[in-house]
Amino acid sequence: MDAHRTSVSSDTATDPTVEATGQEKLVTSSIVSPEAVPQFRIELKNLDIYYSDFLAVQGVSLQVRPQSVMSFIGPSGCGKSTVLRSVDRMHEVTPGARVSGQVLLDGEDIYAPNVDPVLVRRTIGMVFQRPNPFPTMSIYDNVIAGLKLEKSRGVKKSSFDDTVERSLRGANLWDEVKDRLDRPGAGLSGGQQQRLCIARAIAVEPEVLLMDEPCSALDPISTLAIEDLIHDLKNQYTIIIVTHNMQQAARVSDETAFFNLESVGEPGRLIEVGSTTDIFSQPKHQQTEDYISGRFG
Amino acid sequence: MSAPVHEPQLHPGITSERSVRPGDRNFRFLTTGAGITVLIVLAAIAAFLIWKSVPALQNNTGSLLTNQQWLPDADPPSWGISVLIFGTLWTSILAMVIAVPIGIGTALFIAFYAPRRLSKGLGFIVDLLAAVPSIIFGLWGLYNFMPYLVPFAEWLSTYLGWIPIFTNNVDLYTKSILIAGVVLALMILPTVSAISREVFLQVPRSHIEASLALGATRWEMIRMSVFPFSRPGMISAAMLGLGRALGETIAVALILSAVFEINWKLTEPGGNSIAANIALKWGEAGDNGRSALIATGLVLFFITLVVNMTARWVVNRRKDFSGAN
Amino acid sequence: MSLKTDVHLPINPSDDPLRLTGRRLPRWAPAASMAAGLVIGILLLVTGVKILGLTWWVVALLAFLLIYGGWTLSVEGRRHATDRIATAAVYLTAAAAIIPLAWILITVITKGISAINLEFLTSTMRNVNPRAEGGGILHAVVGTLTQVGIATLISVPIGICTAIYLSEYGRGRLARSINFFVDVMTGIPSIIAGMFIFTFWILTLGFPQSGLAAGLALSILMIPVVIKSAEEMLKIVPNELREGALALGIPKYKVIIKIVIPTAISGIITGVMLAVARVTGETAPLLLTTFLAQDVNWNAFEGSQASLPTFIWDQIARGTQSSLDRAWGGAFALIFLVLIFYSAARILAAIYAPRER
Repeated sequence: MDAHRTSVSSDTATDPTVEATGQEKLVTSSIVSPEAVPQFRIELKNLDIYYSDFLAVQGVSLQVRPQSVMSFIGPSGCGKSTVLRSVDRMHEVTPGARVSGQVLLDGEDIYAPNVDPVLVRRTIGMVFQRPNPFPTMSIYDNVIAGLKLEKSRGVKKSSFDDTVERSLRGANLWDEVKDRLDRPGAGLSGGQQQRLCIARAIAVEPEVLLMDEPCSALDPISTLAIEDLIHDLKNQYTIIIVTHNMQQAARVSDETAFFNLESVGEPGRLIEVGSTTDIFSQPKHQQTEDYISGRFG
Repeated sequence: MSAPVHEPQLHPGITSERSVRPGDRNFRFLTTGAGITVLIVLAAIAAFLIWKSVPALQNNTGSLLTNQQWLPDADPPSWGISVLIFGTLWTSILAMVIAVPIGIGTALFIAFYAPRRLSKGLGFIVDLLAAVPSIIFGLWGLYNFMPYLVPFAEWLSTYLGWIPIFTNNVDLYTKSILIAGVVLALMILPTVSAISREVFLQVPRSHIEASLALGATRWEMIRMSVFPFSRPGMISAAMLGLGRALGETIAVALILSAVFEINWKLTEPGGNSIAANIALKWGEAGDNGRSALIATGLVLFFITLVVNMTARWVVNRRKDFSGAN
Repeated sequence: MSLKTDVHLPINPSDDPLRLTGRRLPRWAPAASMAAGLVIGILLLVTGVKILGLTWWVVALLAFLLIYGGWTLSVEGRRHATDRIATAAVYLTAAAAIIPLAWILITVITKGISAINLEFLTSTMRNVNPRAEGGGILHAVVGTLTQVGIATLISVPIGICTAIYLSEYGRGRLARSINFFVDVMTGIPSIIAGMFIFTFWILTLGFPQSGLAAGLALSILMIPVVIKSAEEMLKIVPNELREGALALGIPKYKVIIKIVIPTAISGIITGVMLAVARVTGETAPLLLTTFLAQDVNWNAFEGSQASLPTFIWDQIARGTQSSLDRAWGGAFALIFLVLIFYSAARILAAIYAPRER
């Protein structure tokens, strides 16, 4: 178990002290009660995803470790975004959409009958393909938008100042906007808007961050900035990122999951999942190899 | 040897809209003529009515704005519009105050709360209210609905009578501005609801998903993503509803007791609106009386015009800042 | 970069079992609250006790809201309580919109249908004493159909041609002014249309009061509606269609007549039918232009002619019980006509909808 963990994080720059502490903690707690503490942050068990009666994705099972980045890759229409959206229960916002199977957050099924989707989405944040800051709010208000929901009325705005700075620094945006926090959020450039959305997402201190093709609407320089950001964010959050850009997946993620469709009308399936280096250099399935070498997709 | 030079032949119709082809010309003439006819008709209406209203305005011995009588056919004529404008505005604003929350709530219900399969049918049913003719609203309002509203009016004057507009000094609760206002509200409800519904359905999915992804409840999502985006549209819906209420004639004429006085008290038998006054007094009016009625009609038209134009302006002005992409 | 170094490790689910569920109300909570409110209301009804003078079902409603709100506030907290109360409020407004409609329709149908019989449909009010029973709406139906027919015959050609101009030709100031003034025309109160036709057509030009006058007044109201809806339908026709035809060398007017209009025709017809449904129910302009005939007038060009709306108005004014019964009968016939047109238009629109949202 420990050896597995080391190999996963070896190709990304991590703070060795943090990793050592993590390993230590894992070892200690596994001595105390091996079954009680779940090993994975997110686990999908035999997940089927439906749009009304149409089965869009079938039989997905995978595990995501804490403080790691997993990327979902695959050709368009294979269901990778659908799977991502089912992790924070955004999929069911579409009328008629449903899932069967389990999605476990720290061992707890988020689709259990009594679970409150509002709390799930608080714990699992999401950043979307097109940056979507709230147009009528300032930068400051955008960042604390999620926090204000939880605080009671009458709490002064200034008490959020620390959180705003922390979140904007965490999103590598603080220096660029610290002098104009009261300007509208929609007035920033595309890359800045996306980082603002990331700041907004981490302001509520989620445990997991889902990113649905966060760079596909951005220019290469902003893309690079966000990829650097992901490297930093990994220290604190567990990240799952959907990307259609294989090089990005190779640069950014520790583990990669490859999805594919048999043909149009068939449900998407998880073909292969493993460490990024393995997937890209020694894929086990022919389909994976074909996709990676650009023969389709 | 010189080759014959071919000049490119200019086909008629390609180079400009002004074609030499007779079919094109005639058709264009026909459609332009139709458009101009519409302009002429409208200009004729305005000009003619203004012309016809002048005599009564000229020989009015009272002050047009403050006179609280209606005696245009008396000798000397004495009439004023204050009572009518008051009645028109008081009933219409009351109708708007009732119809806007219900209309917006219904639109929210259809857009965000009702199951998808029901929402189209529900929209159809609410819009059906718009098709009911006003005379039927008047008939039903007078004979079926009023008996149920009267106890409510009594309750208002008993328990909330300390608020001046709810006091009732005559112990008569029928044919009041309150009742007319409620019926008017039902008549403009489909307008407010349909326009609001259109606006709500246009909120971009990305805004809605942004708030949901932060862990907002459905109502929080509506407050964070839907209302800010839809504000100009909702204001416009309210104003267009107001515009319709202002021009409504028959239901008001049937329900109000047509007392010619300014009365703020909602539950007492009440007043008169410009349109209802015209409908009721036209038959027996003499020449000057008709002229005076036409003058009031023009005032009504002007008020309605201002309201409708403002409604359109609100939407157009804010379109740039609504955040729609 | 001031990132915290306290790392979140996977949490043992038993450490915080409420982490993902929060405290929730049971699923039967809304129904239970409604039942509780109802019980309280019925108690009041049965015992005759009045709280603040409110009727029993109002108290039941308030009790439901208070119980439900208080319950959710104590269990689920402020945010979910607000959400649930908002949901209840939204449902209430929807009911407030639909209940009156159902009420009106049911009233008209139940009261009106008893008056409808063959005699009612085939006789007129000629020689019928207001206090007596009997009489019918034949003259009114004939009048309405004639007047609306005239209005349609006038409005549709002018309206569609203007819409074609605005959509296909107009680019400059003329088009903009026409557009603006059509908007103005949609807001004309119906009584003004009646006043204009009376003073202009009847008084000044000297024509007699007639069904034609009424039709003219109705067409003033109908034209802007036809123009606006037809213009919208024409604008929806994709430009590629026009350009493709023009590129084949077809002259513009033929492109419009043979290609653009047929593509938009179902939408245009729907718009016309909706406009017809609207003017069929108009009363005010008719009151001023045709007065109230009691017998059938087959001649639309001369003499006063009845119509369903003015028939109802007249019967209400008579004030007797049999007149009121007749009024309901007339209302039934009127609503029947209007709703047929309206529903047919909406169903047609739904079937031939050229675009999806």
